[in-house]
Amino acid sequence: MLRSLCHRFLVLLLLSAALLWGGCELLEAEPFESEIVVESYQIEGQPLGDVRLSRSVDIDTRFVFEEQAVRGADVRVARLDADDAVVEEVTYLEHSPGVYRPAPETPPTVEPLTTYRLRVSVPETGETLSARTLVPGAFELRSVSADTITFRDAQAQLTLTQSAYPGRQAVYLFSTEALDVEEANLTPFYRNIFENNGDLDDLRIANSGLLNEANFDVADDGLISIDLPWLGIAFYGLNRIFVSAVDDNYFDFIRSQDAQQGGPGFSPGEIPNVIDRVEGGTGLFASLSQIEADLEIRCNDAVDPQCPPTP
Amino acid sequence: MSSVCYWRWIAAVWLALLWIGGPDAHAQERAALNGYVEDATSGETLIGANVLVEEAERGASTNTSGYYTLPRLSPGTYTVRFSYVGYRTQRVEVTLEAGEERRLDVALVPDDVTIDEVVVTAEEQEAEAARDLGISQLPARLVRELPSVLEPDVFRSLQLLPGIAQASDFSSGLYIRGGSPDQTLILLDRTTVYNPSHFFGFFSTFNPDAIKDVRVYKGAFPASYGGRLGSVVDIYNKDGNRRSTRGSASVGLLASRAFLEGPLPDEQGSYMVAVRRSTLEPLLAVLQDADIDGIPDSFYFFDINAKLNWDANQRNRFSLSVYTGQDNLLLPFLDDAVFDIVYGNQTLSLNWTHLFSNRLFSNFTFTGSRYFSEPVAILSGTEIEQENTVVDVSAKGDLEFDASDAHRLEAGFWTGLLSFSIANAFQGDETFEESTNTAYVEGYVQDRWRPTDRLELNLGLRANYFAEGDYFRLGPRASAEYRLTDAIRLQAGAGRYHQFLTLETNEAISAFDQWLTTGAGVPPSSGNQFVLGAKTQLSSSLRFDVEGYYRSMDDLFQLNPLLPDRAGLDYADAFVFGDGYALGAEFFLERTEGAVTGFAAYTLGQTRRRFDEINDGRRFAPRYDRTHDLNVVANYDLTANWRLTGVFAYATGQAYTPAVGQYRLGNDPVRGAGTNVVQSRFNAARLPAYHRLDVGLTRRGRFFGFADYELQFQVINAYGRSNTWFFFFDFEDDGSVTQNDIPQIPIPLPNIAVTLQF
Repeated sequence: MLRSLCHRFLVLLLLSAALLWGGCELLEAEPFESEIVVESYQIEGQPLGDVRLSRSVDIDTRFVFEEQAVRGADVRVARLDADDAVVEEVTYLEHSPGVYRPAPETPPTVEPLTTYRLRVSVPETGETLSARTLVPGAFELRSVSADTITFRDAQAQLTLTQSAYPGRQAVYLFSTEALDVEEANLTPFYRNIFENNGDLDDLRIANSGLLNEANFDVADDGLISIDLPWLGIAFYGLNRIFVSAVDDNYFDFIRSQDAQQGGPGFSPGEIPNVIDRVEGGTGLFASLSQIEADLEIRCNDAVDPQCPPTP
Repeated sequence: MSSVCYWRWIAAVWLALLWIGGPDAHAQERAALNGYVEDATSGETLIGANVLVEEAERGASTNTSGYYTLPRLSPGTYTVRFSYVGYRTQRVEVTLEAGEERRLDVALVPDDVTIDEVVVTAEEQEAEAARDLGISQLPARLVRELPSVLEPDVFRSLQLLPGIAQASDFSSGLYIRGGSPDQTLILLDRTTVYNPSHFFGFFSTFNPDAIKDVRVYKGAFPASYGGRLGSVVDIYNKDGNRRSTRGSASVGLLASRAFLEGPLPDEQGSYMVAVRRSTLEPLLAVLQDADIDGIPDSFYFFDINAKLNWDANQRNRFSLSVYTGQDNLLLPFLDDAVFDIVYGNQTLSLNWTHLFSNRLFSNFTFTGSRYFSEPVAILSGTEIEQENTVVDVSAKGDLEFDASDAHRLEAGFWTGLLSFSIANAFQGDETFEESTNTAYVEGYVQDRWRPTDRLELNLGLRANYFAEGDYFRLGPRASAEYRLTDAIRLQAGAGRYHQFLTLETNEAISAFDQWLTTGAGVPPSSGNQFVLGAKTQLSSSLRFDVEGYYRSMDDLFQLNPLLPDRAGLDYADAFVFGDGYALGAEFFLERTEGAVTGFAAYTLGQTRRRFDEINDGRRFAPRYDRTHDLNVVANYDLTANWRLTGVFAYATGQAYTPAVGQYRLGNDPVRGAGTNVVQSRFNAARLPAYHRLDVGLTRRGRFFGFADYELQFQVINAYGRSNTWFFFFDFEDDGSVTQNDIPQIPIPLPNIAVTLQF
């Protein structure tokens, strides 16, 4: 009797587990579906930017833009007012496979704190794509402490006004573009990276991560001062420093794309999809406000025994 | 009922317990038996030892102080049986007079010791307390004997038990019944340990020489524990030998250990000191001389455990337990870059065990715990620093009162101040600072009620108050055990659990662990647990246990993994919120006697999580989800001096994210070089199944007549299985994507260790 009860209990236990098991959804990998990929950047104060259209490919296929270019699309970018009404619309023409440029010879200039809308339709397939961006507020470079500095000596300091973004604090990204890209001009840290991966062009632009404005102290006059980190200098010679304030689209896309490379919040092998704000496709339709400054970096014999010869 | 009313109610229960702990109105008629159960060779108290009054069929288990009480016995002569796994059962005959309260301290003899002074019997030794619902116990001796990667490890040994998964060969983190490591409360001598890892997570901080008892409450744990959603690992250091001075020294490939214990003068107590330090310097020097890249300039870790016990009198015992451990790494990499990482833990607990009466046992502890992590990276002359500190100072008290034959009441409190701080600096300027200082108060009551000889109920309630966010939560707990026959126990349990903390960690490296709390807009997590189980004793040496469980997890919170920068954000905006569940069935078969001993543990499980910003808000399998998880541990005594040990593990491959598509952006005006994008299906595929065999050979003997020695030869991953850790995707210049297999320990890894005991 007792033995029978015991057996029944065990069977009940196992059945319960099996039922719970079967009642839960199974995870399945959805098959790959190719999407239209958009890439376009609207920079405050500059003419409307190009729109590049291509298609994503399955993981076993090589992605070559020219081969995946979306041809013959109808591309339009509209400037909207506060009520989302179209103030001005610009049509685009295909300049080269997959690359579309504003039709007007003098395209409109991108305005700060203004919304732009992209619409794409592909007559051949009937696909449509849309996206919109709100341009960050304009800001200015007030001063740079020097136009020439010696590596690992006194840092260059940039003084800026602040950008603005409706509904959130401004988010900045700092980048340094080397204008004298030669192996001999590499600073020690990047020289070693180059020795490992061998691609100079990968090192041409060094950039920070996305940084909230709260990282920076604001002076009484409302200006922020930033010391250019030595980590941002990959090459001696002439460098162009950019400070960019980014819109929501760029912020979401880049932070999620960075996470695809790994990060503290994900275990190894966990890859989130990028956050795009594109209806009917994927990619990035972004806007930025940007300032720039040129800076000459001289090598310092005291920290780098492999300084390039002085021209 | 308001929170104030709850606290008054809990306070009233406390006062009532203290009051009724006084003279017993029925003491004139009934007798009582109580005392400590100890190891005969060392005087070490035994936790969870069984005490049975055979004629009355009344039993008890020793508590975490090794103390038992058997109240309300009728006057008469009894045979009292004391038993504990690994020790010879001892019977003691006592005659109790009406009203007598007899203190009976008993010393049990370990199986492998020969002495004549006590009468022993060889019979079934069931670890009663260790087989309560949801509990697994791990003998410290087993930790030292199992084949291990470089160094014996408590947590890696725990990972062999059913329901406990490992993240990878490189992680000692505990993933218990579908819970992440932060859902497990880890206590060392009643003190919370916040980052129990060395070697960046490779193994745990607990020195196996110092450990007396490791108990895991995998689920449905009683009201006496709280503050975590999932489970509890309760570790006690050795008290130290109360009889004689003993010591040991071990030399291994990774670390060396020394241990000393002995009695205080006049045998009024004991002390214990255990020291462990890595001994990698010679290996590092050789590798540096060979000019191999990536070798640290310096790397070491150490830990020290010490405990002092003072047995003041029969009613009062005091102990002071301290732990300190630290990891240091100085790693230059590339040219002009260096990582300088220091992290560690310190704990302290001052414990007072007091008998108010023979029916009212109490334990009061003052605890302190500190975790710190101070990584610094200097890249091309740019200094990036972080300071991360957790400080927890608390006081706790537990009362156990034998109210009647059928009721054993327990109540307790735990209150403290918790401080978390994190500060980031870039080029010497602070860029982010956040600190939380919060009080917490917890209290519980529970009644172990035995309405019949075969049925035992444990009904409890735990209340938690967490000042940060002003959150008050109640957690009712209930469990039942029905003894169907002497060999079969049916068990069920349920409870509601709350958690006010979350841990940001990474299975690849634990040196940057960061704890965060509830707060404004960040409510505590909560969950329900339901467990059914059956424990059977198939023969004197064979036991079989099965448990099924279901857990819900609500209001889970964690730092948004897609958030690049928290500066200037409202506290709640830094988090993502979600939920989850876990369910499974665990099977455990153990053989304790015979030529071959060991156990097989199998778990059939499933766990899912959901967070708004991950996987488009859909459920996903976390990496530690395992459908099948099998571990087999076997020991075979070849001769009296040679022992062969084998550990085989098999598990369903971990969930990983398959890349199904790709594209590239090439025109970014800010970042320049192409932006490569993977289109993925989050954790929707499985890596190949994991399996590994570890073998070990141990030789024991006398070392020139003055010490016992133990020589261990071990091979980890004996047949060289290359288990995949994860896939990494490389974007090639020709537009293709290459999938790279990053392996776990891919080759057989030998280990050798020598231990001398004197």
